[in-house]
Amino acid sequence: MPQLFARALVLLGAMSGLAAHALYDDHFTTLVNFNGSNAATAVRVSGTGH
Amino acid sequence: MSLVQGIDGKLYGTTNTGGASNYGTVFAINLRGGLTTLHSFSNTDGSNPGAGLAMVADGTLYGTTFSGGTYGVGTVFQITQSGDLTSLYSFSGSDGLPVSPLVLGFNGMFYGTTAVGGSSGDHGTIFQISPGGTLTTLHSFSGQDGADPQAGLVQAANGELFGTASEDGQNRAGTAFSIRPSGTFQELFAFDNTDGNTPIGGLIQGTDGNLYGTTEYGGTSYGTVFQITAAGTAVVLYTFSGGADGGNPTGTLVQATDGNFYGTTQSGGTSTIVCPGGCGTIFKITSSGALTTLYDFDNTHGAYPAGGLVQHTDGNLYGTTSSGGLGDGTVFRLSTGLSSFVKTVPTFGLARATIAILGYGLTGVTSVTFNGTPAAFTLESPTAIRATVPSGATTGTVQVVADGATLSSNVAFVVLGG
Repeated sequence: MPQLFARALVLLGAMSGLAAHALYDDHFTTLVNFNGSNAATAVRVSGTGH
Repeated sequence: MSLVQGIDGKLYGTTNTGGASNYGTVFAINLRGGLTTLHSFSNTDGSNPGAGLAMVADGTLYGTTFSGGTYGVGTVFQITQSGDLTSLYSFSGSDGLPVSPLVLGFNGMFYGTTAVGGSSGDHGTIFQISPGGTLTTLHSFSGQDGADPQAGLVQAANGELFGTASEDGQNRAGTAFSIRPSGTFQELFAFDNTDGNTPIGGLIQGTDGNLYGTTEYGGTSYGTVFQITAAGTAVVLYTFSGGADGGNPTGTLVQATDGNFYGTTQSGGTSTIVCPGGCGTIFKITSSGALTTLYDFDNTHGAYPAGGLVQHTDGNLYGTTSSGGLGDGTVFRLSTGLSSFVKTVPTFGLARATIAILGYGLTGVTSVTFNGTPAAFTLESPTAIRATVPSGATTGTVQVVADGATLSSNVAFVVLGG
């Protein structure tokens, strides 16, 4: 059994609802729209059975 | 799937499906969005790549497919930037089924993981493969030490490799581990759901030496961002709510040149009508856990970003979404005001080795130094310098003086054997 490092969880206060929002909508650019004919982006592989 | 920057300044990646035979593709895009399909998989040469690419100094790219090939269960391939693809290895099943990208080790070998296979209950493996295609299984997961690794490995500055297994472990919530190129494996941490569950994304080593990663679930069910310190202590930096701050991150984080970490969440955000649960977000998080949501996907501009981001040497962040846009996903850029910089390929080398230094708009280059030691160099293009690691150089920042401005590498270059 490998020896685990010490577990010392520290919640740093950044829990749900405390995130800041600084939306960069004006700085976002869509470069490519995949449409099936030119391919579709990779999705995660799920359900490998464990 | 994360993108990788090529010698020519384009971004290279894979698509899971589509292409001439609908078995997926390898593509390149320029920074204006021009898309070139370099290769359409035929199934016999692999199909359905699920991970990004690794690049070596001459620009050759290496990757994996999770099906197709001789036995139908995946391949390792190399492809030139002009699109010439060579299958290096076909998995046969017992040796796994690769989902992860590859990483180049200090010894010139590539390392990766398989989600299944192995000699210990089909829980997945860690493998080494030579550039010529000789594969060695270094570790078979037992379940007790983790299972179903889906992320690539990261090589730390000391040459050790670190990664995650998305399932099982002592608390059945996944594990983080280290492995040496010799095959010596050590479980570092077993997630217990309160601190995270299902680490799909990989680890990165921050400039502070700590490891950083994400879990898809756990915390309050919507995943976490965590840090594993050099001393081996795990710290939850952030717990996603699944609301406006995002949820279910599956990509590997990137540390940008401002020192902050950037990533994506597959769900959450405010577009909950068009995307039940939200279309996902882009976030920034500090090493102390302060998270800022930078972008909120709305489906029109993409949805469900499953991969991580890459910082191009133009300073901007680039990524992909698995859905949205015209329906089959997008490639996007987010500009956060960071300046151009340089990155080395690879990030390590022996004295007198020739490496690539990637940049952006490079002209008038008058100096290249490795931690202060001047190096011989050739400016090949506005996006790449070819440089020789100087004798006597030590590990540290690579700096390029171009048009009087000094550009620094994003990570320290490791001089091997020094």
